[in-house]
Amino acid sequence: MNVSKLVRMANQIAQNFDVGERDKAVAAIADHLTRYWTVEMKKGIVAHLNQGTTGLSELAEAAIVELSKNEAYAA
Amino acid sequence: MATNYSRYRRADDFGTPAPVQESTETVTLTIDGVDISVPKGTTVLRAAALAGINIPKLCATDSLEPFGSCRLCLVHIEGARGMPASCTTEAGDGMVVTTQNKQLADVRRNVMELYISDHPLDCLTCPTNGDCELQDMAGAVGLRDVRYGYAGENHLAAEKDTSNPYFTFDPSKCIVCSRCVRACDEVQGTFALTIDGRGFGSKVAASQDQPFLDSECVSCGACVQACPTATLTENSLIEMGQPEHSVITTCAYCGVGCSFRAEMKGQEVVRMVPHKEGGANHGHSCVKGRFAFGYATHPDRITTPMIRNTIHEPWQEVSWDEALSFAAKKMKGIQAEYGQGAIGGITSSRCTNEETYLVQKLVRAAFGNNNVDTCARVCHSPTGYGLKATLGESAGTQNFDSVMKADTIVVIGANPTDAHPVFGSQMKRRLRQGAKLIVIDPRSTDLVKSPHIQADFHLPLRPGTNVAVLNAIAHTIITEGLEAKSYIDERCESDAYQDWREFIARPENSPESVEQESGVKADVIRGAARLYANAPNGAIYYGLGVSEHAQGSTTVMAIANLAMLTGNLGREGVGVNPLRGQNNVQGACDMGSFPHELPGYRHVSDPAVRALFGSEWNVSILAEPGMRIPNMFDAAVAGQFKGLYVQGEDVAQSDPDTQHVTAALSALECMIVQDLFLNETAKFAHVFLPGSSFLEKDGTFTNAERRISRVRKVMEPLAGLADWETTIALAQAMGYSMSYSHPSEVMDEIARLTPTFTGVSYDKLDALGSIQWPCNAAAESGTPTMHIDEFVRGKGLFRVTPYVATDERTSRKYPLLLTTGRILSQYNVGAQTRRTANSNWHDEDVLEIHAHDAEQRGIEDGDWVGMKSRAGETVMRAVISERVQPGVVYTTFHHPASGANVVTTDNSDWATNCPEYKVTAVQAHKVTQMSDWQQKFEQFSDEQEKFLKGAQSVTEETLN
Repeated sequence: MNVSKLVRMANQIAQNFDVGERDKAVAAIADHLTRYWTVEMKKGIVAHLNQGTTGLSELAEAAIVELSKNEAYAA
Repeated sequence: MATNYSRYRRADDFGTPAPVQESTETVTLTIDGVDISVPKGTTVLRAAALAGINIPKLCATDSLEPFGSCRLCLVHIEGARGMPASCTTEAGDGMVVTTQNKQLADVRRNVMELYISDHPLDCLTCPTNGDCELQDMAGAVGLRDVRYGYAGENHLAAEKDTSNPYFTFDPSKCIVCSRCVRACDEVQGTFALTIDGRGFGSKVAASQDQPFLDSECVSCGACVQACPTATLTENSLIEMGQPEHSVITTCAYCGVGCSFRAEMKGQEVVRMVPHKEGGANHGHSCVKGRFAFGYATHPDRITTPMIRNTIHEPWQEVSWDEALSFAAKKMKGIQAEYGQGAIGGITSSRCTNEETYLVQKLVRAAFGNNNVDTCARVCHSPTGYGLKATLGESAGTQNFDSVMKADTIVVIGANPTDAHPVFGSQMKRRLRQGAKLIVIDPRSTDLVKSPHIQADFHLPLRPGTNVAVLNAIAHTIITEGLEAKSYIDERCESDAYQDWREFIARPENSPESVEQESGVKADVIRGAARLYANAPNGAIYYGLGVSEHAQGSTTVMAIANLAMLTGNLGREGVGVNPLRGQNNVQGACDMGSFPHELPGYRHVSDPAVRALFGSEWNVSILAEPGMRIPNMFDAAVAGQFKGLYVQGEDVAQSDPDTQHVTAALSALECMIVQDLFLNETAKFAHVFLPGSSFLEKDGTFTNAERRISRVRKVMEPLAGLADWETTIALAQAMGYSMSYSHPSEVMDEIARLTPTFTGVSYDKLDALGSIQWPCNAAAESGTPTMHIDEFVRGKGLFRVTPYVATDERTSRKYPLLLTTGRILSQYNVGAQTRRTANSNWHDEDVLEIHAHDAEQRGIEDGDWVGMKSRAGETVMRAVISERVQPGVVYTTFHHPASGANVVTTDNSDWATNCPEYKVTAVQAHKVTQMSDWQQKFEQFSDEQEKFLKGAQSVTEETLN
């Protein structure tokens, strides 16, 4: 899938969780991606994390770092 | 086997409605020597009818308030003077009533004699011969002679009005009983009819004595149903004569889910008459449900399966077996080459629960993946997400009747008088009784101001600012101390509430802060907040103007927050009520159509749920969510998704960013479309499996109030198979066996596996008429009101709802905001309604534009206007309208060639990817020709029509 679309979606999700405590927000974003994205999308965004400039917001990036800890989604 | 058929007879009519105030107090009276007990407030006429004593009547009918004009229902009451009309006399304790004696008979005969002296005597050739109340009453009173003769001045030469395509108005047969006028006022609430003139000159007139079609009449047919003579008669009845049997079934149009009596002659529908016992509609309907059923037998119906290898070649008509094995072979070939996840399916919100359930089962069991989604993705997926997150269940909280107990009604992003007309009429009835109304909508809908209706507050917000405005309402309630403190303490999670409270009280959420962004004056927001919060019962109704936004899910959660904050959940008269678009959106969602959850909204990651379904289906279900519809399209464009089975949806017309959708569809190697017609999507298909209309199959629909109602077969499927049978056959061809001999067995399986459906069965549906889920041991006859003592999730959860402005902003290049919606006469993509006479009211989509914006661009009413966004450009005719604010334009998407979705973008709700249909930045300018897209569309459509005709002529040759 088109990575720029994944980035856009991840950023949009992050923005909507961007209230209150940061740790909770990061966990909520990672949980949202886990529950609603396909494996291929999760793998795609995790792989993109290692590409240097990601276009991801700081919060979205933190959530995807969290997501990448799950081996099933490792690049 | 028992059939669904009942011998045709006119529905029972008790003369006057049941008393409005539910009273446990009864009164006992004696009518013709029989002791009868009835609820206090019941009329004598109704009390008699309930006991089986039929007092003659003409102007009275139990759908309308008593009127007392015809003087036929006169009775004698001991101790009362004269002969009171039983329809306007309340039954009293100890009353002794005589309904028949010589004096009464003489008076009634004289009354009938006068009526008949000015009525044609053509009963034998009259359309309502055999079903005419006037004829019945002439018989009942023993009229044998008209002493006045027929030569006097009369109305027999009055001209018929045949302007309406569905019914004829023949004033020569009118007895001026006012039932039509009262039906238009009381039942429909349009006030289009009146009695014009006085005395002998009195006549029924539409609007300013105009032809019906040109008047304000919305063609709901309530007047036709109410007419006791042949004055207002369905044209289908005029053509075909009286029906011989009837079957109770459920409308296949909007989410109101009206119950109908299909009145039949053999396998032909004579007319659809709304069913008085229908829990959702109580005997009312709209122009679509009552009249627009002709599509089901339209010549465009495709009744033979077809296949082709590429979309650039003609179709070939084949047998069912050949089509199914061709489809299965292609799908399996794709999986072998590109992987198990390279195919998927889309279930239909127009098909039955059972059919939807089977399609998702096919995908999860036979395709072996979770790539199943439904068109609810593009309408109410945020409702599922938002209500589950806050209240614990993905559904509306009330029944429709609850509105009759609401004191303040809030309508957000919904236009019920057009899109949910029967509920719209009920809501207007409550408003005329005095309920207050707040409308939050960029447009001035009919509810904002129409005859006898005026919103107390209209918040004409800028499209895309719902969350800001709802937050400001909540902010007002909190800062002015109007919240329901004890309710919140008792019913909601305290930590989450405190977090939310801290957030909402921030100054950025005040009405004054959002005034600029939303375009709504702060004092209007404050006034609306107070009106809602202070109401004894406040009820929120919302539609796609809430869900189809970048923050659709956030808006749904903000609505749930408001209802919890004010204690407006868990009883009648309150609640959070999503008005579902299509007939079975609720059902399609309930049935596990979403890629991340199995039936009953249970996530696929739950091993226990997977094991439950896995063992029943004898497969192992994947634990990871599958693709949503937009994911499928993106993956198709990227070459990773190659096969799609679409049942009863038209994504090529209904989904946003048409050019992206058609690029995706063109990239598929196998698309199987199952539909009634060669719709826009089918033009990209390789296999066409003929669908069956709601008249051709058994099943159930679930409406917006969670009401499960039976759909009953009234004719054989035109193509031989009902949709549920086709899905089973496709599964079989793919090598997965499903054995059901009737849809009731599918429902039994759903009930076995889904806790909210445990108590549902066809037998129970037959017995109760309909059932609102949850229906199980805890609620054996269903649940009209949810969350009564506690929320489904336990404690209610306030979710923090930050306002995030959409990326779709106006700019110098695109200075206007386009928002989209629906109109009364057409339904969704119009595949059904465009093939009926409903197109008389709306034969093209138009662009509503404010006079100010039009003038700036030199656009006049009726001009062709090009509308361009960053996604694409289309051309439609302009209509100058005061309904939209300056800066906002509006259109509908009922006609494919108008290309409204060429303009809408791929922006979507952050949580569910529900498209942002309601906000697109556009520019509009006067043009002289169709857009490039429209020219290409026309060319492509012409070619595909040829491919279809080619297939049909080849087959004809072979047969000859």
